[in-house]
Amino acid sequence: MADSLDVIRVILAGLMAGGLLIVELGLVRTIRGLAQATAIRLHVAFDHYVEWSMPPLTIATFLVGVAGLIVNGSLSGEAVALIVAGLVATAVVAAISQFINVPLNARMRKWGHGTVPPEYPGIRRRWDRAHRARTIAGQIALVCFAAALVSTRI
Amino acid sequence: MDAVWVVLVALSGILAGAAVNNAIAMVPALRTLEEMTDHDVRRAWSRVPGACVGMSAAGAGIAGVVLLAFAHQVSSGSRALLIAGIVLSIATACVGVAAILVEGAAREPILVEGAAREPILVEGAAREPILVEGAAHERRPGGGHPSAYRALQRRWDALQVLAAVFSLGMLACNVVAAGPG
Repeated sequence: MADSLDVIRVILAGLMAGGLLIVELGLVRTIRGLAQATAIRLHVAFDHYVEWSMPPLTIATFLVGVAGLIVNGSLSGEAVALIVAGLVATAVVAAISQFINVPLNARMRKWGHGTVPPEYPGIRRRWDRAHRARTIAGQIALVCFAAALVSTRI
Repeated sequence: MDAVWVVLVALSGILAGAAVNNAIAMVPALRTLEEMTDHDVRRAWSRVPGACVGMSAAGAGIAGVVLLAFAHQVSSGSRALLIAGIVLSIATACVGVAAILVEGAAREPILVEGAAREPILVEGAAREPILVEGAAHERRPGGGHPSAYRALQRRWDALQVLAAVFSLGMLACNVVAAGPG
């Protein structure tokens, strides 16, 4: 049971980290090369689908991490520290998403088709900065969880 | 040895997450855009399959290093899982290359110029006329006919889904191989 939770935690964290990275490498840079009206349409369309997958994935990663700590009483101090660090990084991903990116997505969804409001460049910069921060946090979470998994082999 | 395992597991996770997010979010998002915009976005997006190819190749390489350099420390079960992971990494890389080739095939626009008010026969995959209204300055991706482009589009979408499935398999193999026991 505890072993399965260790494996599931890393798989979920990997999906979360990769999902964030592909938006940074793909969406953010693709949008920079498009006309602003097209960029807004693509952003809104992409987020419509991503908002179905990423929040549950982030929450599941956090919950499985906590469950692993509770269920597995034989973890070494090193493994516990790594899992806690991973949980903190996952919480950072969730907080940035909830308080910055999701509200900005909601604002962009309200804009009319083909409309580019004057505040768009500022909103774009804020969204991109927040996304970069949560991407870094997501990668840190994955590395912590992967290192914790490997440390249990010793 | 442990550091190599961490790198392998983390890389597999990132690749799988990237491929899955691409398949479940970008593919349907592209379907909601119009043909020309869709084509332009796919072109700009082509670095994603490229990144997936790089990560798959790196994953296969690291798993190979674990197999060869640390063979005496790896159990027979882990070895079998690592080999399966390498096979799936190579399959993911091949799918990524195929997606890049398909996107390249859709990249060639046909420029139709002139004050054409009559049907123009565009030679190629589809031998059907395209009516260009007015002082046309029209370009169509994918061999000049929408149906040809749609076929490329469907192939590209299917390849993204296939890459996601292979990379998830690779992640599962590598994580279980590195896991407890």
